Amino acid sequence: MFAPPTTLDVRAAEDARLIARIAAGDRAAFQELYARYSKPLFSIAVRMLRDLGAAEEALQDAFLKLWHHAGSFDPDKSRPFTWAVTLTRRTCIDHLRKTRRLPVAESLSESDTDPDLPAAESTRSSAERNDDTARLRDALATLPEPQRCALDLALFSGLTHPQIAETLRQPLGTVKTWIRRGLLQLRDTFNSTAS
Amino acid sequence: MTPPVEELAALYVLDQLEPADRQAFAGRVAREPGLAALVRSLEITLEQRIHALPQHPPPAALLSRIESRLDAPTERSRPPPPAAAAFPIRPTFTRWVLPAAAAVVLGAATFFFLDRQRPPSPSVVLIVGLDPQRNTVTKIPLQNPARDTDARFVQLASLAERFWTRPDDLPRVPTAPAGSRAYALFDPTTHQGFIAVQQLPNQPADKRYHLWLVDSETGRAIDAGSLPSATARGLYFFSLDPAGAPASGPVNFLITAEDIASPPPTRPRGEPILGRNPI
Repeated sequence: MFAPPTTLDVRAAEDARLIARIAAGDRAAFQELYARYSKPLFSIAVRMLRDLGAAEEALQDAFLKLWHHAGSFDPDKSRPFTWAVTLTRRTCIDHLRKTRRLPVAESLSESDTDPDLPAAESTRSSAERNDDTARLRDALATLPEPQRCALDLALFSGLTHPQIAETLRQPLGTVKTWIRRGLLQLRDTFNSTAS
Repeated sequence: MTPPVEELAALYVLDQLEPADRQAFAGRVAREPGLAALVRSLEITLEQRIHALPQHPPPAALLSRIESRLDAPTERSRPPPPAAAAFPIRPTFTRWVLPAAAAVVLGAATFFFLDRQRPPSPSVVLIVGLDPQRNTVTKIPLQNPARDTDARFVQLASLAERFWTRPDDLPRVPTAPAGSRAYALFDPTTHQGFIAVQQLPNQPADKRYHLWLVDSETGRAIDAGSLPSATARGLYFFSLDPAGAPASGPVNFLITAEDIASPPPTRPRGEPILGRNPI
């Protein structure tokens, strides 16, 4: 039913071992995990907070939490990267609440390029270097706009799904369906292009 | 109606479930291999979605800043308080009430005595007006000088919002001849504050405005963070690491323009934009 183990799974197993070493106080493992995760996690923080200074602060706090809570990571319940993403997103949401800034509610099409932020590494050139990322962007383009919007709001805005329903002025059940279908379709499109 | 398991799985990987539902679902994921495989496949999809974002590398010096904070003592590293002594016997009413009443009276008397001896927690907020030439410091009292950090934050935030929406309520602030000005609200007890930027010069593309708090007694500049890029007007929260915050005494503020390309500064290096240059 699902794809066989891939390099992603091997990578996840390595990351899980790093987290186990971090839980034991291994600073070298922490540095290694930072090298692997800091760029995508910082990119999430920039995307959510729209401010490099705040994103730096959030990333610092997220890695401090990762260090202190590494012992609570359970590889049976989530992948290491998803766990780190959850820590980072929660830290960003705390930051938004603390500064009383409203979560950003907008669709990906409006938000992946932000004139207020310095240029990121070129997404196109990144995509060209990375076939998986290119396929994912193609898969994203095939998603119906409501699904893509609901999915990205759930991932990057800091809004809960009832708040997303309110923002999009849609029934809660509809928004949950969009999120589910969006994620499943993205997975299936990605898997089919990968195979 | 029970939601489809795919819906729960999607909300789980997006961290959109309520804590109790999340915990229950995590238990199922750990027990049910089929469900675990579904969740893994969605997590991988999410991972790819995140890698498809425009990638911003963090500053080169960030890891060393994080590691320096790892070395700081934390709540977790403090020894736990001694456990309360268990009552050895179940006392009768007369044996228990009199000693307890005496203890309460003695405790209350001790509390009031010590409370009078203890230096009061500062009940003021500093308002520091910044213009290109000088700073103006005003102290205003907090109506309810709570010691609790959260309660003080709420009061500070209320003041900041009030002054931001009704600038006429602000106590004395400098009049800036060139139009560049800002003011800071700072609670010396909690080391939290707000910087209200009313007007700043246009920010060059290669610069980032950086806020510093300056201990006026020692001249030491303390990093209070970067201001949002390309923002000329806004109200922003900042919080200092208590370990590095000034213990007491007057404080000042400074805004400098720092090079984006350089590692995050540990002291002001760029051109002062607002406030008094401590160097």
